[in-house]
Amino acid sequence: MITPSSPVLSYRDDFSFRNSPAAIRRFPFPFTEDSYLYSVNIEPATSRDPGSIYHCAFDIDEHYRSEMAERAQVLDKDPRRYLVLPHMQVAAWDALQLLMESLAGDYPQWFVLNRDGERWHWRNLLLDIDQHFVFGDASSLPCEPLEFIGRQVQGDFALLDQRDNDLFMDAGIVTSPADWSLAFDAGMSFKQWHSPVPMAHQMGIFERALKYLLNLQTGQPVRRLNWTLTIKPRLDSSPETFHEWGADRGRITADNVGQEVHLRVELQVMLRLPRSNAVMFSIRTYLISLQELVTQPGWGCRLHRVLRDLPEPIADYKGMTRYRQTLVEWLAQFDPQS
Amino acid sequence: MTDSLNAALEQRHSLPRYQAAPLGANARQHLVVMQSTAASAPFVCELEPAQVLNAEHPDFARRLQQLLGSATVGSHLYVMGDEAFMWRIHGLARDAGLEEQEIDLSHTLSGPRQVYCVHCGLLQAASPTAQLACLGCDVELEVREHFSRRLGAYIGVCRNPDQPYAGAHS
Amino acid sequence: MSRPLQVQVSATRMLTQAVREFTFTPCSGHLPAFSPGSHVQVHLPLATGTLRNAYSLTSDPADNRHYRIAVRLQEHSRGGSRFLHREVQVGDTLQLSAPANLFALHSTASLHILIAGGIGITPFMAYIAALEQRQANFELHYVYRQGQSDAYVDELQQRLGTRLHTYPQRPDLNRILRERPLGSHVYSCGPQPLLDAVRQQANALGWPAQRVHWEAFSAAQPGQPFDLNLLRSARQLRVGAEQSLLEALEAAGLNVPNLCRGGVCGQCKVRHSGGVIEHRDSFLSPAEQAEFLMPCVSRGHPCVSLDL
Repeated sequence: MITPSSPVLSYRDDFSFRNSPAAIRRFPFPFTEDSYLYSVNIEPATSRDPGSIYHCAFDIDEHYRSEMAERAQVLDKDPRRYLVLPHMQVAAWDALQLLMESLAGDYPQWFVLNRDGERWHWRNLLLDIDQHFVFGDASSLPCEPLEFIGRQVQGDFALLDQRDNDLFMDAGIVTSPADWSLAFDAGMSFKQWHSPVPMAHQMGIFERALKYLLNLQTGQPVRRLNWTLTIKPRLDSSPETFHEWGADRGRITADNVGQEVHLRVELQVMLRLPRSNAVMFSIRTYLISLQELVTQPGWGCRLHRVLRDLPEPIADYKGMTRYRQTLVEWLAQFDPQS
Repeated sequence: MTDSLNAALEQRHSLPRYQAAPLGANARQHLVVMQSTAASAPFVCELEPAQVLNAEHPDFARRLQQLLGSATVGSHLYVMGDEAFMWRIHGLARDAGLEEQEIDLSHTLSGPRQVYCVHCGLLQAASPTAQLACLGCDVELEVREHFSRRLGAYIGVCRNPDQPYAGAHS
Repeated sequence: MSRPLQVQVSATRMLTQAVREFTFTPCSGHLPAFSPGSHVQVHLPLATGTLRNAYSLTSDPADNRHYRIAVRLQEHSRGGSRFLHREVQVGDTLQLSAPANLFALHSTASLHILIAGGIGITPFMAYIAALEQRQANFELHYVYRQGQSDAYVDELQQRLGTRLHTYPQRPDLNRILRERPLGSHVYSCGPQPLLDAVRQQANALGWPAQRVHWEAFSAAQPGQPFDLNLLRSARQLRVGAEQSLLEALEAAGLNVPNLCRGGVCGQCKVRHSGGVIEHRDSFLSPAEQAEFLMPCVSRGHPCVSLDL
């Protein structure tokens, strides 16, 4: 249960991040089968299972204050993690409106939004923010709208401009990427920014996904899960800092697998922003150490089989080459068949 | 080409595509910008009517600004030279309001290309080899097969995180 | 697909002798925000069955208190516009489908050239509200018949001044489109011949297709009644003369995804396998039409089998 005085844990330096038993139970374990294959695994983002990550539009969990402190650190050290191309101002305000309305609606005990025409009053009791501003006037906020609201909601956001029958990544706030760079990818089309993903292009995955997203209608959000592995509970596993964390992949041993290797699951929500017609792509990251993960019945066994049989190009792309064998061997103990 | 090479190229959607000959754009005015006389592509003489600029000319910068500033819709731009030159002009053309489809690039000179160091954000000229030490932060970079048209550059990422810096020898 | 919106007609006025404007307010809650160029489908409870017609939202997207549409009376049609002109009064409630946008502004354009013919002015009313707020460069070229199809012209003259150009007949499109600065985009809406002429002239001047945008107002036309055989649900239906195939499906409780109701957007595509099909859409290629049809406008005889 999150409160304004909840402890702030860290995703760097001493890596004090841990999941409570409740957080472990609600963790979105993504594998429904013993093997993993790409698909356009999109479903309508309807509210379900109260208490789960799917209940509210933008999930606030026990790590809120920790994550917002981490975001502030990343942005202060590297402003390139936030970018809004000039033509995306309307989309940025669209995103601010959507996020404020969602948070105030889903969590009225922590977020309050009052409006009188264009004069808005926003309060965030968890971070002690009390802000009057004029909607549409960036000078009435302490920083630009996407950054202002982005510093108050968990997850990364990319705003995609829809034009020429394509989507372009023209704005975003990205401080917890699984190894991609907003600063580099900004301005790219859908297929261009997915260029590094192996195998999926030949399967026509991106062709179908793009068609689907171009057709998103307001009020009908969709979602999917994406997954990878991270060493240590490092949210900022960006290319920007790869020279700092990349070496961790070479330090995995049979003794430290459980505490060092983390499953990283992204809840991706895609929705149509109503006034700009842009697409919002939100990426909400959940981390769990393997030693926490295996406390849940069946998860260790399933993960063993998925990682054991994962095609090599996909395993390489997900960065697990150096420690995959050690990891699979460790997971075997949770698989009755091995 | 073999199937695996086809497949490998198929997934490199961000990589630039260069034209050896014009794609038959439906343009009324042809704008030609070449890095040097040596950079000129054979098809230039087929483009009528055309305004031609050569970057070897001392007044090139001003003439280019004037060309792009006075161009109207219905123009098609052809750029010829090495990668670094082509993408610099491409960026200026986009800023002036030309769309991607209105710009053809012909890679007629070998020469440097631009690399973006993802660690410090520095855009720097680099040879076509796959490796370089970043001029800004000294990280030894691997230049990847991932290209940004906006930056006109390939991405350079730390090649060996176990030993990230070029200067280190221990 | 999302639930329809319940709205009340809060005001109506005649903009010309043939064009009636409706203002809708929500029966409860708020109206969803929309982007300029969006349209809504109005569900029209005719005696012969429910029709759904698509109309552009003319109101300011920044004002979420109401929606506005402007409907031109079409004499030779299935009766939707007649119903709206003659039967609907202030205080009545109607159902609308949530806004959808098939005619969005191009966000990186530095000059928006708008060309409207007659009732084609409607999406541009929302456009100019948004463009003014964004302080974007634009100009509006409006061709209309005085007193007949000149909706909003007084208001436009006041608001736009020299940015408005009006014409009693089709203007010299060459003059409008030639020598335009880089970054210009052209948008046209109105009768098909106007849209075709704009595209032709743009092409002749070397404009690439990506700079040319248009919205055609097309809708289902009446035809002969015919039978439907739904293969997967093993049902037989009848499509009435005034009813579209899509409306017959909807009346039977089948919800096929759809957006434009006019055979343009491709959303309602359905596989067919029997019967002589009368394709009336502007979306499918001839090769595709051998396998698929667009039920919002197309018809067939004597009995059409569908993979539904």
